[in-house]
Amino acid sequence: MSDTPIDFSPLDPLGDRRHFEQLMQGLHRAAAPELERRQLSQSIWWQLFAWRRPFFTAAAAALVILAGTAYLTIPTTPANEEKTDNLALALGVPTEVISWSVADSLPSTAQVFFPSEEN
Amino acid sequence: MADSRERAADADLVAATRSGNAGAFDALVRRHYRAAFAVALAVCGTRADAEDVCQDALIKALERIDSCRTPEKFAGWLCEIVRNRAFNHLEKMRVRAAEPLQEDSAAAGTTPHDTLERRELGRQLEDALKRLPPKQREVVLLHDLDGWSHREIAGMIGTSEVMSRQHLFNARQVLRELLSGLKIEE
Repeated sequence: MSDTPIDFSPLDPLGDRRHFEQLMQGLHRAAAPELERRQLSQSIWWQLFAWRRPFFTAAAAALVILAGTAYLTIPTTPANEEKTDNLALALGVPTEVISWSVADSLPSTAQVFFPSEEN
Repeated sequence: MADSRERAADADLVAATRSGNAGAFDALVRRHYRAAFAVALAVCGTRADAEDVCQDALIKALERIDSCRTPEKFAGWLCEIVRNRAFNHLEKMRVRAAEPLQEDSAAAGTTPHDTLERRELGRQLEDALKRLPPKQREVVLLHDLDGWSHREIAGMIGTSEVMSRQHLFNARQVLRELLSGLKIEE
């Protein structure tokens, strides 16, 4: 009759308990590093470590945005130049030198050796 | 094989294994080893190869357990991995010469005579199984060795329940013819 099952017990992997337990021991030895890695990955430090890339990416993006915003909003107006002049004067820089630097032009030899009487 | 309570427990065991719980992994393996072995044996044909494939496939399954999307269907997912690894193993074996079978343990509580007889029966069963087409081997082993239902087998091997029954019927008929006179029918 083909309705009755075939007795596969001679092939049953759990039939020979000792042999099966040896197989299980070998399996556990092979699985130990992966299980350990998984246990580790549950800790808060590992979670933080795992998030390091997205964190640094977000920080870099924020830095770029901040730098861009700062560059666009800091005015390079005459008022700013005036502030620079005041600072130079406070430091004792001659006004002629300031005017040269603001005009971004090189002084002539005469201007260097014979500064105007105004100073 | 699996009623709803067992499947629910499978989901819990898979979740615990994902967290690295060795006990949960052990329970999962013990629960599904027979099915994994049946699939591996159906492809490889020998007990020794099937055991090697099972070890390899179970480690692979552990490494990939995060990709098991329906943990309540863990058995089917595991058997898919086992089948793939078994085919890879077969491919490797075709390239290099097969090593001799090594069985170094005796069944606990049995006499040497029992063990020898059991081994001989096992070997004859292996030989007979090799004469079956792969699908029939898989169906008869999952059904008669691990007690899977036709619905479960059909879902796993991608066929209908009717075809699963047909495979089982044909497989048993061929095996009985091949093994007639041996002490293996219930």
